[in-house]
Amino acid sequence: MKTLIQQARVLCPKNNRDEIADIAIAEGKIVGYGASGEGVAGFSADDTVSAKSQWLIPGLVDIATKLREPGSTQAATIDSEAKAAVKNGITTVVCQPDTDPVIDEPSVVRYINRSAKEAQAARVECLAALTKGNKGQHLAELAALKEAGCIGATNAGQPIENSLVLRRAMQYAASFKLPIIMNPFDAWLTPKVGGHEGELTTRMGLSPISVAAETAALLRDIAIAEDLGVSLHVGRISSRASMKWIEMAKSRDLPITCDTAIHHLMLSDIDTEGFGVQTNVMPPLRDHADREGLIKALKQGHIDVLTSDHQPLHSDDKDGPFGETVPGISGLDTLLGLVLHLVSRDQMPLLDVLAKVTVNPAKILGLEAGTLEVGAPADIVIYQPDIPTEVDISQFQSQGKTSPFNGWWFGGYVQQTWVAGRSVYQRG
Amino acid sequence: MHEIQYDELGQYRHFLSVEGSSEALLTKLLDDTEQFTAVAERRVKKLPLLNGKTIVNLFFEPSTRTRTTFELAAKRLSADVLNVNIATSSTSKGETLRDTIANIIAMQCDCLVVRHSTSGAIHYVAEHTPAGIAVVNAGDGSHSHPTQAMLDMFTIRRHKQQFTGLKVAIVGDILHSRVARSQIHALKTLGAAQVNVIAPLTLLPKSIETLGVEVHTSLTSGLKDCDVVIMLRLQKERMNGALLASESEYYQQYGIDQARLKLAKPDAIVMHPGPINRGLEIASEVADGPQSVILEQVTYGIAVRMAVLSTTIANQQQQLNNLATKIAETANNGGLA
Repeated sequence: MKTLIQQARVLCPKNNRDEIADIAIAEGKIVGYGASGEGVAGFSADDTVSAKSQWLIPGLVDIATKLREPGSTQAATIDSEAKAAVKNGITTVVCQPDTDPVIDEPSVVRYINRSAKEAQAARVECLAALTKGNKGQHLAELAALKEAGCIGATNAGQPIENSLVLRRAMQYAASFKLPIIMNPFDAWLTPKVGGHEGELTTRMGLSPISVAAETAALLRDIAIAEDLGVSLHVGRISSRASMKWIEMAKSRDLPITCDTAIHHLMLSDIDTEGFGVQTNVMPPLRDHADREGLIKALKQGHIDVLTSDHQPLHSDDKDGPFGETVPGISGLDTLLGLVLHLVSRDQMPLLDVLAKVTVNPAKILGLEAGTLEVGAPADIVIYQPDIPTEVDISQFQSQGKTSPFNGWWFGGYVQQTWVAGRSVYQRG
Repeated sequence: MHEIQYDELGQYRHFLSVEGSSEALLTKLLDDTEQFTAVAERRVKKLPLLNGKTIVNLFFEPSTRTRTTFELAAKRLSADVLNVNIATSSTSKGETLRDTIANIIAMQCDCLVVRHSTSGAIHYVAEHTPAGIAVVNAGDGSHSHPTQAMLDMFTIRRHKQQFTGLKVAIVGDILHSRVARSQIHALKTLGAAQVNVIAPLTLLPKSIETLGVEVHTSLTSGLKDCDVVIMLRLQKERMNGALLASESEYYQQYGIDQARLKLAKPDAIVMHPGPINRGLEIASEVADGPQSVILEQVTYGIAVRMAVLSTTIANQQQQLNNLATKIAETANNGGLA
């Protein structure tokens, strides 16, 4: 199948490209560019798509996605979530290993890969659990997991309490050149459910989650990584205090990158007022100053990646008093819309913001994605800007229908998505 | 945050929290309570106000004082009372809260008095209860215990006549205390001059000063010139979580005896929501002494709960009547046209 997309505004952060052009796709790859409306020299298309006044962007790479399969298919399936991804311009989802069974042996990876293939939607990449069963005690078979296709290893939000196990897990992952992603949670300072420790938790009587629950773990992770000389990606930062430490580490040229969930740039603890269970997430929404601090850090380039931190839940899991509900929201359906909010609301340059969800996560995980270069896989998205669109959870493609963003307005919508040159989603 | 507890006229249709309620509304509740205290002095301690109404005490957490005084309050108002005690254990969860409420509602009651160990649970109950049924908070997690706070306010008013200029100390486990939080909101709303919270930092929630209180870690500084001293119950299991070193050190630092009580004003009253731990947070000489009003609190608890039950149930009834009138009017207008 040879496709020609014409007159699109091509936005590729990797090459700082922002121009109106024609683009040719063949055999799953981007094969050439031509001047707008004039086609590509020597290229005869089977199919021509006009994308006049629309954007052509690289398919998004979402670094933190829970697919719930295997294990909790009442909440979501690989099929439902891979389809939700492409409907929203995400062409690669990185599956967290806290499935049931955990991604700690190759058969689970093979199962996920097979299901993802059948879904014929987004690419699904797996992260390996650093330790068996995610329990922080024994090393997982990381060499075999890498061979089966895992692209990195992580603690998946479960604290590795024993620092010696953590040190060895980092050494072991580095032996097989697996990128390491750590979500900083101190085992003892983090209750299962709660809110940002402060005025709101005090008034509402919610279990307080201190900033130190994050920074204490973060500093330990950085210290051990520095000692070993390994690269570290810190996932899901929620506080400005953490950013201060990460900036300091970066200024010392330590190989450290980090990400934050997009909702931490949009909401703060005050949105939990009145026991709003839709804002029950982990790490918790921090206060206003934290949110401002994160946006500032993003603008200054210290936050490398933005993620949906997608955690689909069955509606029963969100039905109850705040402390008895499960943390997590569905993020795939709102990632791109919220990321583009940073352009309209916070005046961030469009290409800078797109880099956080395309080329940057791809680079950290060693993926050949997130770019519109000639020769790259044709994972591409046509986005229709300038048509205000209301967020409606009942229309979410994700099986999880939990979101604090219901009723928000986005600036546009995804018109069409290709993965490896094949059209996998087209707006009806 | 607590809008759900008010009807269109800004009156209580549920009673979930004192936070955010106006001074006028709290004062009215205290005035109503005053009326109901007289009932207890009668030979026949019963009013026909809630005759034919059914009140369900739905307790997910054990309670003696609160449940029995709610029961007595209901009975003195001639309501029928059903006590449902549901012991919950985290390991074996049965029915969801939503299903429990739905089942109780199906039994056609007029009011739910609910206690639950999770903060915000009573709001959840109110959100899932149809119009016409009042929901009263009998304590949720470490969030709120509004009837306790109001009976405390009533006791204070009885002894001190007014709140203006009063200096109040709250001593003990503020961190886990729904009573302390509710008392602070009520005292600030009613115009108390100063509220001191006194505890080691391990038992004080962060940013407690944003509620308008002064933080003290020592009784000596915190009790100075106080008109009211409120001692909180210390759960003995707090020794386990590294919150405190020992019972004896707690008593030495934060327990009140006659000598320490002298730090407060000579006419200070001593209060405690009960049940008291003699020799842990309070010495018997103080608990049983002339400045103690602890048993009065229990007595007034009945009248406060009578006021709360009658107010919320009446307002729910009024709302239903208004609705029925509106429907009838609409139907009539339709008929005329």
